[in-house]
Amino acid sequence: MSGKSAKNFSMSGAGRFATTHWSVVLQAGQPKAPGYQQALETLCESYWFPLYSYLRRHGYDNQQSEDYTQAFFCRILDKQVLRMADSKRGKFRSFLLGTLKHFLSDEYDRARAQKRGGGRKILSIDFKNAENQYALEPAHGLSPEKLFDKSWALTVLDRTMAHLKAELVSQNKQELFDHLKIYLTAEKDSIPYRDKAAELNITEGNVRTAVHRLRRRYRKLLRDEIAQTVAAEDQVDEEIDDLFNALAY
Amino acid sequence: MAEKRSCPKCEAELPANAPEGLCPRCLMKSARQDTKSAYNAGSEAASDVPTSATPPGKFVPPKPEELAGQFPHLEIIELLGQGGMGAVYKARQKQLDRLVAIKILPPEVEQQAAFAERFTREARSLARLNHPHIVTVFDFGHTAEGLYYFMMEFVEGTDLRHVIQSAKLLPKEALAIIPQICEALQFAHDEGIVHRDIKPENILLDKRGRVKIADFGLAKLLDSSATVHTLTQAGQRMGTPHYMAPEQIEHPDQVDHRADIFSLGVVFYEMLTNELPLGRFSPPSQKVEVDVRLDEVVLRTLEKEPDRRYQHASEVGVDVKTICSDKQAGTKFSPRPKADDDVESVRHRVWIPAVGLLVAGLINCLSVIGAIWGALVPRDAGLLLAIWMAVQTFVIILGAWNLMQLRSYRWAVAGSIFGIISIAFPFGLAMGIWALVLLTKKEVKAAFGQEETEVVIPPRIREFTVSTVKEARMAYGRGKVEVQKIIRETSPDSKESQESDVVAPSKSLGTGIASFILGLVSILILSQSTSFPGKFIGFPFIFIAGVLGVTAIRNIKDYRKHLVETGFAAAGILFAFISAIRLLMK
Repeated sequence: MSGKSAKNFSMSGAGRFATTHWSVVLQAGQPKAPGYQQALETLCESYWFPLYSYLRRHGYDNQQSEDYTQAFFCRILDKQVLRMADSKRGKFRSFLLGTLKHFLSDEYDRARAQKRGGGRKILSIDFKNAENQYALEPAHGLSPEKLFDKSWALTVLDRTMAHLKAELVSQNKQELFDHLKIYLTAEKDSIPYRDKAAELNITEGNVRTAVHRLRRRYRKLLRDEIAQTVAAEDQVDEEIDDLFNALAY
Repeated sequence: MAEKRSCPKCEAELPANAPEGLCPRCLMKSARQDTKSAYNAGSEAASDVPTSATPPGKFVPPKPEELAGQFPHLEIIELLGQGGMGAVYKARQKQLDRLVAIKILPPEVEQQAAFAERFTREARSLARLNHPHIVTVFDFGHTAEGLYYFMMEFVEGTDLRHVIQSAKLLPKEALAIIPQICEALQFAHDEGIVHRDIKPENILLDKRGRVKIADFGLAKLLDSSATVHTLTQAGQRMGTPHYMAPEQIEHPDQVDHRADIFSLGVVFYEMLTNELPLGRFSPPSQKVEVDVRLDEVVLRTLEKEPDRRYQHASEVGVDVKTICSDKQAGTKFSPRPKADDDVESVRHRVWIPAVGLLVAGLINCLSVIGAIWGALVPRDAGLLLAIWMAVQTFVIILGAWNLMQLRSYRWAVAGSIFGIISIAFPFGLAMGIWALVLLTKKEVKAAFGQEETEVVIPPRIREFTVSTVKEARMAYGRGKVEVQKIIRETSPDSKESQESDVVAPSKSLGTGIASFILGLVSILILSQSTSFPGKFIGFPFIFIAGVLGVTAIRNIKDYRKHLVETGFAAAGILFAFISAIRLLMK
């Protein structure tokens, strides 16, 4: 109408997604291509716990689970495991579980995994708390797959909250975070702002704004976190839904 | 630590590994709900990242429950509709217990340059638009969470788009609606405000059939260089360009109030013919049965050059009304637009004779009463004569009033004629002749028919609006009409079921006059026969006169506006009272 096209909002999600870890991996396509190693390593270091849980639930003891986790990661970092199908629509989560299952059913790989490391540097994963975390899961009946998904969801949330907290701490706002984080899940207006304002020694309006900002930032961080593990913008909502359902298990 | 805690919101058990002690389900859910609008509202300023997860222009409005927190003084009832211009909700002001409409603007507007100042400026000028045919803005502002909003009067009804599509407007109905729109536009233009987006969706009709124009000035407010704004954009903000004046498309910075007149013309054409005036279009009279003179009006509003169009919206309205009221095909309709001053000058000219006639009527009335009381009139002829005098009085006064208000031409003429033959000689004669002379003049005749704004909409449209309210939702600046079930207030408020002022005047007038006449008659009867049969007959007249008079008075809300009715009714009550006293004393 006015002839001015101004800010180009037509830049599609592809622009942003070119930089997420999983897209980088997909685009690289194979271990030798640039970016593949680093991106995949980062992903693995972030999302090892669901794997571990799966392995434990599958029947392996904690030591075996640790070993297999590491061995598995070595495998996917060294060998070409990506398939055409993955690069089109796959999410990292489904890729990981699918590949792990293949890995476990392959006798040869498992036998090789007995030897720790297998000639490659292992990823820096802190298995110390893994068993404790796993033990928190009730013993009854989630299948390994369901447990995998549920752990994944919890991992996503943990990472997001850690990021959020770290951000606020770096802004000297830890107290704000500790007091106001409850609003991330609270029903609107269920906790009056007045009390918090008193506790924090700021005005009610400030509380309102801070809560609003906190919520916004949390959502963004969560979506960013999930975005790292999917291939396209439209999969983010789908993934959130899946993870939400997984938490109900 | 074996205590089992549960989430206050979803009541699920809080696992020990809950992130930061918060319920995981609720955490995930809060990112899931509203992720789109939250994203729009919550996008960080970083410009290297596209700010919306959804296509630009697509705005997902929050649910009523979510909005409620931002408006503590309101009870948000429901979402009425949405479009590119934002979303509208029905709400209730808790303290005032009044229904309002809240319109929130899409969150993207925050990103426009200097939006806040423009918003305040625009909203202030909109708030000055206080007119019965314009949706009033009560309040505006900016919530803590960054949403820009307007609080407006709530119009329960439907919109013109819906009426055009479903009601199959008759030409005379269209002709009744247009002048109201013109009035509203003229009012706004006088305040320096141009609507810029006149279209049937923005023209609302309330349950009483009154026109209310919505979304004044919003087009200008939301339109800025920072907004992606091309005709090819799929987003809803553009709407249909068919109502836009050519200059709005070609040089939008040179647009003035005459663009509204063009849009009005498009709407007018569509109302008459059910089609849009596109390309080489036929004049309305060739498509439907309407007065040929309307073609000129419509075509003139649709002139491409703004200078060749009507320069004032009121001119359009007056011309339309002239064509409607002037049934004689022979009268040449002058293409020169009438200014409102013409009507005003006529008003001044008829004022004196009108008042004079009124006085003559009163003299008539008094003489009637005096004659009866003083028994100046022979008994037998008394009753008949008295009734005749009462009728005379009635006609003179009514005629005088119509003359003064420039309402019904016929009554004005009748009143003048009766004034001539009235008892108030030579005063009545003089005034009557003067009035008649004026009434034969063309411009005076044309000035009649300036009706009150509320009374115009034909009943059929009003009924349609009322029945549609049961099924349809309101449209406030939407791209397309969404028809859904509306929850009608089950018990009509007393103020809604009570007759509006629209109906009251004619009813009260009739009742008042009837009371007047009956009271007069009762006086006559009682003055004629003092014996029992007389009293017997007279009593019902007294009673009915009194009842009617009281009923009329009660129905009249604003006495000052309805002096004639009040007068008649009061007189009726007075007569009844007098008769009653005579009855009792004898």
